[in-house]
Amino acid sequence: MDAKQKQELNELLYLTLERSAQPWQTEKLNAILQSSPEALQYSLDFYLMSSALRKTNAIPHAFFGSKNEITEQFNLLHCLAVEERTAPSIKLSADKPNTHQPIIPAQPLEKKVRKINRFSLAVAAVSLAALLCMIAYVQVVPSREPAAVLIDAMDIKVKNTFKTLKKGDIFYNTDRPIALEQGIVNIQFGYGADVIIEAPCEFACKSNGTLELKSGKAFASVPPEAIGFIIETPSSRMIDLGTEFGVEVEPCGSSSINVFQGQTQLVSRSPSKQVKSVILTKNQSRKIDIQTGTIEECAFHERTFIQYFNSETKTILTRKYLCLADIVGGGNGTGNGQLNKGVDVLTGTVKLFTEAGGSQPGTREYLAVRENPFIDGVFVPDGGSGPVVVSSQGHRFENCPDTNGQFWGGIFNGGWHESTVSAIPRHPLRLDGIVYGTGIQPSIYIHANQGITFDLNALRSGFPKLAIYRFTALCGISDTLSDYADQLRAWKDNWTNLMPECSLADVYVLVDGQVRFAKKDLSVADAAAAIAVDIYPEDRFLTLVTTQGSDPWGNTNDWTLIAQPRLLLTELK
Amino acid sequence: MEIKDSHEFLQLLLINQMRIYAFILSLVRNYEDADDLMQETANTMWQKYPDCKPIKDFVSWGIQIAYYKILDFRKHQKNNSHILLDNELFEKIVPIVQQAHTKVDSRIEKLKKCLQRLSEREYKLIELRYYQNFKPQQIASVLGLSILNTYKSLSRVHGRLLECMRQA
Repeated sequence: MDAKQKQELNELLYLTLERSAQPWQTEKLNAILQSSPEALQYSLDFYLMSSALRKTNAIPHAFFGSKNEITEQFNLLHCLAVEERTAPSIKLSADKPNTHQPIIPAQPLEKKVRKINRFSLAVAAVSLAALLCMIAYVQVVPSREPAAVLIDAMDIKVKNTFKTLKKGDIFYNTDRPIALEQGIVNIQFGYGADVIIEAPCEFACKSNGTLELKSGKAFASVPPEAIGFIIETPSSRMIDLGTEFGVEVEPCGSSSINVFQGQTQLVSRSPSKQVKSVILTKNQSRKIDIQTGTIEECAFHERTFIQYFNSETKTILTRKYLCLADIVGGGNGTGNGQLNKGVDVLTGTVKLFTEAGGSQPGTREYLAVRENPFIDGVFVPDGGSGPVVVSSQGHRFENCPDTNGQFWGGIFNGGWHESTVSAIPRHPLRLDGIVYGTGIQPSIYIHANQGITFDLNALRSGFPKLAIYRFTALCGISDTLSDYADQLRAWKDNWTNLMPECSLADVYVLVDGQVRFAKKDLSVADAAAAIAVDIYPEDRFLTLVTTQGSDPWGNTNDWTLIAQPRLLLTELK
Repeated sequence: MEIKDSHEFLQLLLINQMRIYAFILSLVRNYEDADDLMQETANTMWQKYPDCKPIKDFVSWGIQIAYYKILDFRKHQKNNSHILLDNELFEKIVPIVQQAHTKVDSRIEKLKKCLQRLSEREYKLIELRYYQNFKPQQIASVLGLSILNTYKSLSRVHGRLLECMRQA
């Protein structure tokens, strides 16, 4: 091919590339490629080069090699404009079917709806000064690259379009911002940051490590390899230093940040151009005013952000733990269980506990709980005649203490006690002065002697992206036992010496039959004991047991509460 | 898909997307359709990745998926046949580009050097088009040029770059 033919081929290839070739130009290109192997190879090289220009960082690599001041750009573009205006017109190829046909089409082709013309008109109206600003603004926009991927979406509605988002959609750095009217999306960025964004919101994935949040709420979990992840808002910039944090941007542009783990640097976009920056740590929160750029302290709210969701199981977590009291109440650990619901340890059936029962003997059997998928079974522990079975797989509590084999009530999501025989009215139970058994302060009421086993695998299946790594709770005998000392002493003639603090109980936490926590002879005089038991991926069953202590009154008055029982969750690596 | 997998997939896509894109562009010949097909291809790859990993040759796998996307695209673009490669040419090109883009092409590295050899004025056109993602019409507007001159200038710069890149 000679220079002229190459020039013509370049023009045809480029017009086709921009979808601006006329049908006769496409036909001509096809004819050239069909007849000339050299031209065909040339065209393939052309597409390889064009792909590289569009899909690699070749340009910024070359670009950043030289200093490029905005003023230089201004001068250059100005010169370019002048040059092109005064440049001689280019003659079109003579080898075309109609010499009056222009290379550039006079009429628009049938093509997809794009916003070029509208934008073009708008841009044409701006001054060179505006151009300067625009160049400065887009200076950091890289070539089109995937920035993030949609991991999950639930009940979403994208604003002003019928287009929806689906799992696996790739977000490119040059994509327009997306506005969601409703729903939640989980996006993972190229460098590994995992972000959950709640509607109503407007956002754009600006790079592998940057989310632009124009409005709405976002919760970011940032693994060590993604440290430096940024959320930009109209009023601030949050730079992650290895953490979990939530950002909320109000429609006016003011924003707030809650740090849940680790550290985050917050930089306000002050109108006075004075940079204000602060480093926030766990449980700290700040608000940034868009008008003044001021950073103010504000209350930290633990459950403001959705931290996890699964569109298949329709589960949403505003915290990274499952509440076992909620599970006892028939929920899945996220707060949808029922207060006072629990399990009858005589039958293994689920029931609502509305009335007090008396102390009664239990069976020596391990009873499967078939109505609750997360509870494997219940039992009345009594090690007097040997190990006690604590799971459907036959795990055994080898050194279970000897008990009288009796229990009171059952095991339920709540915290109240009453006794008709000892004239104790129904009342809420307390540990360290805090009333438990409520929606905000959940607890499991598990009066001695009783045991309950949770199936960790069943729980894991509901949250496939999360790992259970620890069980935490508080345990103790209710403070309220002291409130009813007189009634207790009057109960039986020979119990006049029974002081509330004489009632003792043990609490055990077992994993697959192995004791991982034991607190013996808890009394009402003791502060609540903190439980922290690590859970490993191979662990299958978690068992909570209360038994009567070493006092001579058996399980009488062993009002044992397991308060705030939580299975802590972390992202599965 | 697990987080580890999606992270791994994104990294592989970042590294290899240009070669898959080049395959698509060679067969559809315009950016608009190539962008859409690349996105569809990436989505399918993302969905299939957990079941297909470990993938010996990520690019070949991507090209295979892209090929079926292109066939489907051609089927639905019959009314727009003037933008398509004719069938004979398409059949002729497919094996060539399939083979070409599964190999790493050292000329891409050369492109970076070629960009630096452009005159400032030429470089600015390329920068506006690709780095700042302006469409030719937008470039014409902001520079106050005719669309004709803008297309001409851009095609000339592409030709210059290609010549440079081909001089191995």
